[in-house]
Amino acid sequence: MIYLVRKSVLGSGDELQDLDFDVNSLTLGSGDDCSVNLDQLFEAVISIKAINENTAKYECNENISLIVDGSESKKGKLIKGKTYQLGVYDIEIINTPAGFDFAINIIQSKRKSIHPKKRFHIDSKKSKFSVRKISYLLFFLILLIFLIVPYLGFQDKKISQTLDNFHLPDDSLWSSGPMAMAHRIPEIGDDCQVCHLKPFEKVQDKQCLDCHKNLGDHVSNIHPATDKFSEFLCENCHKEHNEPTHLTRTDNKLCIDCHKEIESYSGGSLENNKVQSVTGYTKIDHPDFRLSLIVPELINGSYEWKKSRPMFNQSNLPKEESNLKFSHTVHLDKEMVQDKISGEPLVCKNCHQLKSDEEHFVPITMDKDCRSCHQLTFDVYNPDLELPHGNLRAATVMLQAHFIREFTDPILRKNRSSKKIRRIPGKHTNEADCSGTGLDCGRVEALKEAEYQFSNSGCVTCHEVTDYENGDLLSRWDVKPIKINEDWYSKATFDHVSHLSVKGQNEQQICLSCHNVKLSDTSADIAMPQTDKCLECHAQNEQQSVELTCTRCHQFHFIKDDGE
Amino acid sequence: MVPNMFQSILKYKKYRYLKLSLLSVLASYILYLSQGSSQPANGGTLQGYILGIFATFLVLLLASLGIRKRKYSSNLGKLQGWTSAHIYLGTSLLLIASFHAAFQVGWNIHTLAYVLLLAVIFSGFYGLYTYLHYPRVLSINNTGGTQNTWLEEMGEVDDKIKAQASSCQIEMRLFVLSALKNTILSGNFYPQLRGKDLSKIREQSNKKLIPNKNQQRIIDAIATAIPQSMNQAESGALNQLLTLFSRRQRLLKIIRRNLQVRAYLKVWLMFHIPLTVALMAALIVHILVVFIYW
Repeated sequence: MIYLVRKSVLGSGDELQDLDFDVNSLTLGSGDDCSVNLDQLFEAVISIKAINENTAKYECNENISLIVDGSESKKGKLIKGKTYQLGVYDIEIINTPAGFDFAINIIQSKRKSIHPKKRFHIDSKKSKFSVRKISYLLFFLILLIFLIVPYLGFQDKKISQTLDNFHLPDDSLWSSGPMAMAHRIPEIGDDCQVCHLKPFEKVQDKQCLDCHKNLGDHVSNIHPATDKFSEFLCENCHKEHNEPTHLTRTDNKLCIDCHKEIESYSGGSLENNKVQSVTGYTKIDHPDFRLSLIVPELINGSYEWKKSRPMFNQSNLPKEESNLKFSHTVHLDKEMVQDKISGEPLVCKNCHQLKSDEEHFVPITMDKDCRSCHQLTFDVYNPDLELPHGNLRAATVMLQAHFIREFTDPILRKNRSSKKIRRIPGKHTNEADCSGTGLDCGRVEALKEAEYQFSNSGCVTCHEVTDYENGDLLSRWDVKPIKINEDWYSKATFDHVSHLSVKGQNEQQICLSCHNVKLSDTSADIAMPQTDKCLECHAQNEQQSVELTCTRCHQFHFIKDDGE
Repeated sequence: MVPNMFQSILKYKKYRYLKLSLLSVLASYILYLSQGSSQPANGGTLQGYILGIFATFLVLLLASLGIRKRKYSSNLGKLQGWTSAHIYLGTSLLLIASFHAAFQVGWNIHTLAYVLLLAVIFSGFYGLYTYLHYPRVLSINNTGGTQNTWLEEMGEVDDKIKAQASSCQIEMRLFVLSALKNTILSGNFYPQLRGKDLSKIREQSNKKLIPNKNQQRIIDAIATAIPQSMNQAESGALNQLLTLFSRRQRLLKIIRRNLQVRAYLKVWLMFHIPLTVALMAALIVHILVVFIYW
């Protein structure tokens, strides 16, 4: 297509220049690549394609628009008879001379050239970087990654598995902190839904008790305030995902909130055997300790041990009823008793050995703690023989059997009578021989030895013995059973090891500072420290006091079948 | 942007919002310290919840400044007061949010919200710095003029250059017009921020575009051409062109620096605003998931 462009020469509006182009469409601009060079257009470019002699299509780039009849447009049609403003230029379609297909006139007007602000796009709002777009993008990206995708996994296990397999965002991003070490077990792993079953619902007790099956309640089923615990969840006290890990509440409020007015939780009764209110650990705020005793009770001819919880203070000093005869005074007297091997005076730990719980002691037994000094020998002619312990009938039968055998068997009887045993005046000694039959002699000697054991020295040294004086060796005596208490404060815990370090005192002195048994001549004495003793170091709100929280001595969950 | 305006924002009503912020931080700190008896300080304690609600309220309040700025007819308070509150309360949020989080971090949405909050606050600090520092730089650069007057003058200089160029030989004329055409003073943000002159000029011999930084190439060409001019008219036109391009060089430097400084004043918002919007999303998720996994 052949175009005729009639153009005003630069600097002289009256001088016209005719240019012809054989192109498909004209491009007008300031660049060398434009068919018609218009200096004042700078970056603006317009293309014109003739439709016929009187009309043409035009299209402007982003830097300019055509103005006709006061309105701007980027693309449209040029129509003959109208003048179009293109920057400082005016464009109009003119009559097409012969030999041309289309002709336009371009005249430089007196209008000012494009303002530099527009030319250089200063203050242009156009930018590839849009704050608004980036903002929206970030907003939805965060919702997608941190809410929508993990929530899909939360709703569907398969999706959750897929997310996990491909390391895609899942509900672990919702975790508010690491789990406690105790809960990092394969059964839980990274699966939040082992505990968090329903959205917007706190973790239910069932999720805890599925594993913690043997956990005891705080009160028994018959407690009058049982219903008051129904509103509490495990989660109320046991908070997971804490940093530092703090699974169990140990603050005093945990206890005092209810125990400050315990009347309202115990049916308004504060009888002697009921729990008393507590508001802290001072002489006033904490009640006196209550002992846990076991008391023998003779029921239908046999002894049963019943629990008893008497108050323990200076005005009320209960006695232990273990049926054991024992003097701490004697055993701790270095002149009277020494360790059989070392020859040193006895110390507490010779008999009282701490269990691994560091609170309780290994039970005292005859074999372990007494027999090394208190052998149960009964016949000076057979000093290697000892009576069996803990079975009265077995002991008496053995006595009788032994002596009958000794005097019936001719060889044994001969050997016995020939033995030279040095008799100590005032000391009991068995007979070497007698004049009767072996059976009679044996019975007599057995009875004599039994009388000695149950009345003078031997069993009676440690045991409470009843003598029915009926002459029958096997039914004449009764020995009361012994049961030594192992837990004096069953509702409290205590760490012996941490208390065995006191400057300037040895272990023995530390033991005796709380359990003063040096002047205790009877096992009925209860040598447990009372409230005052603990308050010496642990009173609340006092300077140089090692303050204790309730949970340092008391547990919230009692072991099952505690019976209280 | 007058420096005094922003200094007065800091001192607004005798430091009213500074005092309010200090009070908020103190109260939050006491609340933070009061934790720890039943469980360690964290966002899930009663105090943690209170601090979280307060911090969220502050975030929403401060974000509303963006809306407030666009409603000049609003009676909600002077813009200056809002900006002062924004600066001081925003700074206080740094500590209040930290107390809420109890300085605990992890790879989770909660820490993302916290980190975004810190990023928003620190980008705000940079914004405050630019508002305190750059208006003075702009004022010195403008030497009494304004961006518009410089641009107007450059338009006039360019028109004069074109007029003078018509008296030159065709090669020089095209070279001059090429210098005008290929002057780059981009209106786009990033080039403005860089402030680098990427102007070019088309070599007439090989039609290639070569650098024309600071218009130096065309100035050198004109200076070289003056002694070789064939007639007085051309020599006069070239002398005029030399003067005009020297002025153009100066104008371009001023305008380019103006654009750069104005870009500095805006660039922090390109972080501050998207980060704030991202923070909103993170806060929504943070609050929701706390209760989903209650």
